[in-house]
Amino acid sequence: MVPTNPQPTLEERPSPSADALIRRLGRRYLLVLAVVAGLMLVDQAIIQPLLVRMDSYAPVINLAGRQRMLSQKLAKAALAAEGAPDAERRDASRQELKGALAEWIAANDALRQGSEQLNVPRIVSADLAREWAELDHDLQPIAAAAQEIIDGDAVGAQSAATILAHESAFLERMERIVDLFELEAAQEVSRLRVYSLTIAIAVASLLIILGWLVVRPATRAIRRQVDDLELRVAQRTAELAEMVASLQHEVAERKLAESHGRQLAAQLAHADRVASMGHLAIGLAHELNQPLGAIANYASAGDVILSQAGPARDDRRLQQYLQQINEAALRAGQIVRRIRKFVSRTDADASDAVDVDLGALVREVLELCQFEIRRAAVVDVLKLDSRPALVEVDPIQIQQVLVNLIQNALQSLQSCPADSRRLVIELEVDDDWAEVSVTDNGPGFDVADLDAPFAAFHTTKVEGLGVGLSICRTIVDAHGGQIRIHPAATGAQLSFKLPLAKSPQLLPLNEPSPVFQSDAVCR
Amino acid sequence: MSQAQSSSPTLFVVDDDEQMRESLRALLSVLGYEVLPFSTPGGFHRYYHSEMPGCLLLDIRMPRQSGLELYEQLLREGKRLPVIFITAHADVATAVAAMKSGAVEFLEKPFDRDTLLNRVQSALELDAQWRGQDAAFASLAARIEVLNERDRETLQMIQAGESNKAMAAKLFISERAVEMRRSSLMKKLQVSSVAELIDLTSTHRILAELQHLKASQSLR
Repeated sequence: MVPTNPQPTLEERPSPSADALIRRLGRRYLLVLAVVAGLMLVDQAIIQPLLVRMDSYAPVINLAGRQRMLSQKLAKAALAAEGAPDAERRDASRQELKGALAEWIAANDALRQGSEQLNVPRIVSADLAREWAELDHDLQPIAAAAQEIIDGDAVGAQSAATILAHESAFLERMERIVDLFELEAAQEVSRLRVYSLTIAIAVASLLIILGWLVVRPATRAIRRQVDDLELRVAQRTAELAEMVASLQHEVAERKLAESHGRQLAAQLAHADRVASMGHLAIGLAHELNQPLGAIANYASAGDVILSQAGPARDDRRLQQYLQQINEAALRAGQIVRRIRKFVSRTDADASDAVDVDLGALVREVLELCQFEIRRAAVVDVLKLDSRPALVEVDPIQIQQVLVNLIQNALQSLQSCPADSRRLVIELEVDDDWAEVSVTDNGPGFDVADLDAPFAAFHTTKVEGLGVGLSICRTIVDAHGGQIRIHPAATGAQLSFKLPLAKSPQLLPLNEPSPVFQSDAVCR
Repeated sequence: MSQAQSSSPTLFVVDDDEQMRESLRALLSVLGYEVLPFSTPGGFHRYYHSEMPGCLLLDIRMPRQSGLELYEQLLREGKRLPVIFITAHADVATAVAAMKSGAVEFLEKPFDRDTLLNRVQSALELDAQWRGQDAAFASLAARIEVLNERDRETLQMIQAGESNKAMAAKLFISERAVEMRRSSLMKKLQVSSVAELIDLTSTHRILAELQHLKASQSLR
């Protein structure tokens, strides 16, 4: 089963809405930041000037206090001028009075109107205006009386008495004005406090809003994402576990199928060998008849010797013939074993790979097929490379491939005139490969598709399963080699190549065929 | 027919299979024959000359050159020798081919002693017969060879059944002269009667035809 993603939307859903959320939260955050910045500007614009003004309250109150002290000084100087014993002292007192008066009037003006010079602001309120007006009732007479004394127009102690009479009232009023100033300052302070508090409250509430509108949704979004992620991880883990399980199942199934396939291939190869054996049977019967014939001859010869009575009997020769009979019987047994070996084995897994000389193998197969070749009236030519072709193969399987190729060629040659049937079997060796090619001058293959003949059950013949070449390919592939049909204008050339064995030791074939020679032309 | 050659007949055995070859040699020699084995057709071919009497035991299935090929080669070269083909399995095609080429016998492996003996015996007899014919023909040919133009003319007329008188008339000679030609001809051909003369000439013709047949066979 192929694992599919059960919730593909889960993975894709967050991205657009998360984007929107992030944009929204970003906008809110910027908005709140802007408001906070605005509040800070407001703070700078309103509170700071007020604070600066607060600084100026102290000199105002100071100046007002000094006014009281100056008025006392004024009164003292007026009294001194009145009671002066001589003119000189009187003038001195008058001068003193004149300076004090000027200072006093200037301070009064400054308090009322404000003065850059004295660094005092103008402070206004309804109470102050009333007090200032009330103050004029005492201030004006004092100033006029002091001016009279200065001018020397004073009549007796009249002027000084006027000053003294108004002084206490003036002081009282001045006291009240100072209080008013202080009150005004205190009010300013409380106003400032209100402003600061307001701004602080605004900032705090903005922060709360920020938390509400930005942080909380962001946190929620993050939590949701984390939850999603955890869910997805869990789902993925489950999916992966399922996939692993199904993969394991698949592997097991594939292994089973492979082993079935191997068994089938082995059975097919076996069936093919049995079928080949049918064709080879005649040749093998001939082969078997050689030792059997020899045994019969030696036995007859022995019989003749035994029939010769007396000293003329050649017992040594008789013994020799018996020995020959034994050898021939052993050889017959070997042939029978070879047939059995070629046909019997069906187990593909038990690969009996040994190092053999491919040339010897080819010769042996050619001998196996010799009778068939002869019967098909085919001229066969064997060309062997002078170099040894040591390959590590299962000899039976490779023989099967060769038998198949030769039988194919022989069948294809049946459509040729009997005197021109030709079969060439060639072994070529290079540094890494040994290649055996089987060439006939029959009708050949369809050049358009040189791969088709290797497919199982592909056949152009009336009889046969069409598995021969397919089995050949299976066998050659299993030996790490290649089998192919060469495109040819006339006839057919099939070849297979096998990698040369790396190890140098050579196990001799159990049946060497000394009759065949390299580069021999056989018929 | 008597043995023409003084040398005793030899059994030539040609078989690539050593066991088969040696076992044949063993059996045939204990049976009292002269046996000469060869492992390849080529070996035998190089050794053999047509004067050698005997017969050939030839394995059909051999590498490089089959028994049939060897036999055809021998025929082509005019070396006529009876052949016993030895085969593991006598299929029809090979048998027909072998018969056509004049082989006398077939032996299927394995074979028993008596069969072998029979075949060998008849083959040797055939060889002896062939050799006798060859010898007779050779002597006839030699005798006919010495005839001159006049003798041949006379012979043809005798064969045609002409009387002395008719011959004398055709040849514009006397009957006496015809008599003299006749006796001269019979003297040269070493015959004593006309009947003997006719028999000799017809034998020569038959043998010549056989020779001709043999030659045409080898050309096939």
